Amino acid sequence: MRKIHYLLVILAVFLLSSFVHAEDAVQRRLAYLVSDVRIPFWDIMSRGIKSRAHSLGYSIDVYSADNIKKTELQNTLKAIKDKVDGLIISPINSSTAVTILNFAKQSAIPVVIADIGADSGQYVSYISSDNRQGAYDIGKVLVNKINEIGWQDGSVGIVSIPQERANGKARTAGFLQALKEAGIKSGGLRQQVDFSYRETYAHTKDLINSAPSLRAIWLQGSNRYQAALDAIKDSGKEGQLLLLCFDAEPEFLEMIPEGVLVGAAMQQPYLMGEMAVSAMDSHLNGKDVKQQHQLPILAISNKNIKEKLPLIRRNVLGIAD
Amino acid sequence: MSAWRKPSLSVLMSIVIFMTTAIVFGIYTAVEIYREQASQAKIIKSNVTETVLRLSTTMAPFIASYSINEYEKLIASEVDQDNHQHLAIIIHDFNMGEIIGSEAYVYGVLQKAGNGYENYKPDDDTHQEIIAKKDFFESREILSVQGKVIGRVDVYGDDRYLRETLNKLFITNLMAALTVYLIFSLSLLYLTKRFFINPLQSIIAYLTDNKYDTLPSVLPDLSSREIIAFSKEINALVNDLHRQKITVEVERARLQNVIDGTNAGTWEWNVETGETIFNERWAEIIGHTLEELSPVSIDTWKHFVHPDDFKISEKKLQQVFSKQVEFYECEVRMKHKGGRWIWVLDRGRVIQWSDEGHPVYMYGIHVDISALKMYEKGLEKEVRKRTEELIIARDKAEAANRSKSQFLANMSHELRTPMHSITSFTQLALNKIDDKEKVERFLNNINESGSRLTKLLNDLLDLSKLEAGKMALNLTEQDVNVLFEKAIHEIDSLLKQKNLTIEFNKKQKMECMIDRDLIFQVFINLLSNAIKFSPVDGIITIEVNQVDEKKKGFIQPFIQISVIDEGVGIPEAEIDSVFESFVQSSKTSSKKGGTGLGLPISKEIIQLHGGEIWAQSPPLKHSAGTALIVLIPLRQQGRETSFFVGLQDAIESHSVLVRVIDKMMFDQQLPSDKYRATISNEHLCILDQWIDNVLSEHEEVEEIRKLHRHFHLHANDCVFNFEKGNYSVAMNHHKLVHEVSNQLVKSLLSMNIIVWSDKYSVGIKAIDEQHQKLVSLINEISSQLLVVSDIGKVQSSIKELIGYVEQHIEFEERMLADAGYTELASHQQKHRDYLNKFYKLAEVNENFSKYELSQLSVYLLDWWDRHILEEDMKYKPLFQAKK
Repeated sequence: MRKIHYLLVILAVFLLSSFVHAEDAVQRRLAYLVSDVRIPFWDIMSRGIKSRAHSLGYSIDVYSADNIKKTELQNTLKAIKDKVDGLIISPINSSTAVTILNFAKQSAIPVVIADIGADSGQYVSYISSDNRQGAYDIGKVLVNKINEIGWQDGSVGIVSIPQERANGKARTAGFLQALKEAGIKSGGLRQQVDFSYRETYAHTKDLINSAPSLRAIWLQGSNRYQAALDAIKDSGKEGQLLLLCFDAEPEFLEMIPEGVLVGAAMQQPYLMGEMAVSAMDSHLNGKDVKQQHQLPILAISNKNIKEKLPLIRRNVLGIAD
Repeated sequence: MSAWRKPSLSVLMSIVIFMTTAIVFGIYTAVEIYREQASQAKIIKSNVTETVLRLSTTMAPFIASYSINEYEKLIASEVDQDNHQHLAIIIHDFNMGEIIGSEAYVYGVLQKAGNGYENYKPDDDTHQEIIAKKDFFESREILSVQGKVIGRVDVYGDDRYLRETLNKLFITNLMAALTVYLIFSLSLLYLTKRFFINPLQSIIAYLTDNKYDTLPSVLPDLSSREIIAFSKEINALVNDLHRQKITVEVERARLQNVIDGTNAGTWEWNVETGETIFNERWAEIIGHTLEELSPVSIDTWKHFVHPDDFKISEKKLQQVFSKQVEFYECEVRMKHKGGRWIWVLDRGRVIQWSDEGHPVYMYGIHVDISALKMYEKGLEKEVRKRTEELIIARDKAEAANRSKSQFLANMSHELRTPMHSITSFTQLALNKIDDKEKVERFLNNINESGSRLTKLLNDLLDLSKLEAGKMALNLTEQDVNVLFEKAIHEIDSLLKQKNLTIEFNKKQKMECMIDRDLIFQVFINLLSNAIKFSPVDGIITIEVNQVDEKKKGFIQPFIQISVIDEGVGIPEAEIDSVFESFVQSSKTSSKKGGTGLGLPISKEIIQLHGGEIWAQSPPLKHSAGTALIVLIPLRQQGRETSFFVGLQDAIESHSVLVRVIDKMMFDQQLPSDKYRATISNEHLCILDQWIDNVLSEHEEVEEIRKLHRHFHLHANDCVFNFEKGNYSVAMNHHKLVHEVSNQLVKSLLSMNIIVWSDKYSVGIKAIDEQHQKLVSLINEISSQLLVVSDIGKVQSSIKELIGYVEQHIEFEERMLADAGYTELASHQQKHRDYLNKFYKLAEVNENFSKYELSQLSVYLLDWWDRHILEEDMKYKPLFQAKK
């Protein structure tokens, strides 16, 4: 009799464990539509997304449009056809984001937007960087450096991303506010269009030529830092002009301590990717999600790089230890 | 129909203006809408075409670059700018179609049912229906740079915008029309009112206010030629109406004068409804005003007509209604406000008959024929009176003739018998002159007959003197019992001749003031008469008593003497005539003889003493015989007196005593037998007591107290002198008393004591009594005027009336002045008017016709009726309030 009881208990435990495994077998799927994963920033973010998705038990498909709208649309429709449970998107621009959102809405698929916003449409949450505050903070870094050197009479030039973009406007405004508070003049602004080396070189040179009192240049990107350095060098201003950047490249970990770069305002794409997945997860689990969420930007100079290095490596550069 | 139910000119004009404006603007709006519709349709079609062309071009790069959101924004921008002229814009994106595995990716917008656009859904049937209703449609392919068809744009247009535009246009035009209508109508109304309605209303106002009576000859300037011309025409019309009205009024006045001249009341009777219209004179005839009788109807007439005459009137009316007679005529009595009946001649005829032959309207008149009736009645009365007088005179003459014949027969018998006896015994004595014994007997007989003859002649002389009033009384206080004893003793021999017995039940002294000789003669006559008619051995009963008898309204003490015989008695029909001269009872005259002068002489003597004598046959408690009864006034030791005041009724009453003063004041004549009455000291004491009462209520009035003492003193003097029979002194005293009492009353009146005292009210009651007396006098004069037998008597009565009226007026005016009567002045004026009328009346003479006199009579009554009813009724409430 006792043996029968043991058998029944063992049978019940077996059936229960089978049911739990069956539940685990229905794995939810996410898709990440990204404009161009070849760009380090998006790549780092995609890794953050993958990392958090896996940790939360989601399967994740990453679709890169390679900055082609048709491909982006195709990726979108493919993901929708695959009936993913949620979309995380970093669209080509805020306009294409609207089309993606419309398709997703028609298929009732929730969307979380990472970094690039949308002109309109419905989404679960928009995770972005606090560009204005980050620009302000890096402006303060520059001001401190100028004050330290004693170049307060000099001006500061800006090579910006397109100012039609919201993040472009925010970055410029935050940076100029810091200069204005310190009484440092602006030495002009040149907008990037195609983000090429040549374009950045030309803009930098143009700023140097047009403003003799120029003492610093702030590049609102990271990948064309070499063009700016080359232009300063070619203009004979090496050692007479300070250079700052926005976002980060792995080599910055060397260049900032060396003084090649005064500092950089570093977004945290890895963290942003993680936060996007977490927001989607919360939504899918029926929790309220904050629709707008801005992540801090790290203003890194030679004074704090050592301290922030682990954070920079993980959240900014996506380098796993 | 009421004027209010007629349409107003202003309203009519407003309606016309509204209709005209509505029609004009309606046509204008219809044309405008038609034109706008054509124009807008062209514009919409053009817009649709233009939109297709533009979009097909601008869409191409967006489709080529898969910028879906861009061209969606472009379309949104397009529909925002086109003012919703497009029903729908649909883009067919073939490039995108390839991606989604379809012919085309379709994106579009279409107008919502309300306002704005919504996304087009190809699978939505509602959207398909909307598109199917398109009015305009254009489609165009979208080509890439390489010329490849990469899409198509469809633009749908409808007339919704057109309809909205037309609606706006309609509303705009409607508002404009209303505004213009408002301005136009207000202006027109103002002008119409200013130049047409106001003048018209002015004319109406003139016509309404002036009622054609005081209409100006020309209406004032009324703004416009047409209105002035109209007003002139109105003027002419009104003047014409005015003239007609004057003519009608003249005719009406003439008719009214005729009615007034006939002094007739008029009536108009709706027989079916009973509604009746009277003129003022109709009411005036019965002493009312129409206002007093209002509301009037045929029942008003029924109310006042005499019930007996009403029945007669009904019968006569039925004769008219049944067309037996054409005219209704009836003499009826109607109740005058003063309470008397007046005679009215009621005449009329039916003016309108219904189709069924029933009377509808009847018109007629009332004429006051009271004077005529009174005249007729007076004539009848006079004729009757004259006839009665003639009969009485004839009977008297015949009776006198018979009495005279009888008297002459008796006289001749009474005279002839002793004369015959004298002549016969004289002849016998001459023949037997030598026979002394016989001659002596014959001479005795002659002497006896001569004495009888002398007695007879003396009786005749006494009677003659008494009837002529020439017998003077020598009054002395005598005991009647003693005097009667002497009379019995005087005729004792006659009693013995017939062996008669006298039963005389003497009692206590019966003293009174009498003429001893004359009353003794009366007693002798009574006894002689009783002896004459008593049988032999009979009994004659004599009773002397003091009795109280009511004479002239007062209880007075008398001495009653009854002489009762057992004779044959007197027939009842002759019982009064035995006291007439030369008349003897038929039963006794032939058998008993006598002059028949004893009782007439006795009657005259007793009446001279203020007493009475009569015969009773058979006497009370006797079966036969006759009682001759004498009443002599008993004057009890100065407790009786004659007084001139005409007291009438219960003198014990204080109010009557007040009337004594009133009488004193107004009776200016000296006392005479006519006013003589008896008043006792007891009554004078009551009068004194009354004055004391007045004084006790008004102690402060020393003047009254003084007057009272005078009055008391002189009243007693007056009484005293009456007692003494000194009439001339008494009369002088009376004058004094009257003067003092007059002053007393005046003083009391001036102090409002008598006037306002309920208990002793001389005031209003006195006025009422005076009025009654005046009315009574006027009635008397009125009757005299109707009969007019003696114009001198009428004049005398009128003078008496005037004197009384003058006194009354003085009294009444003084009272009214004291009472503070506000209408005293007008009342006084009326008094003067009445007095003047009475003075005029006093001029009546023999030249007045009977009709004039009867009219005077009626007017006289009418004046006083009015005076009392209208004037006195005004101040009576004032007196009531004062009390």
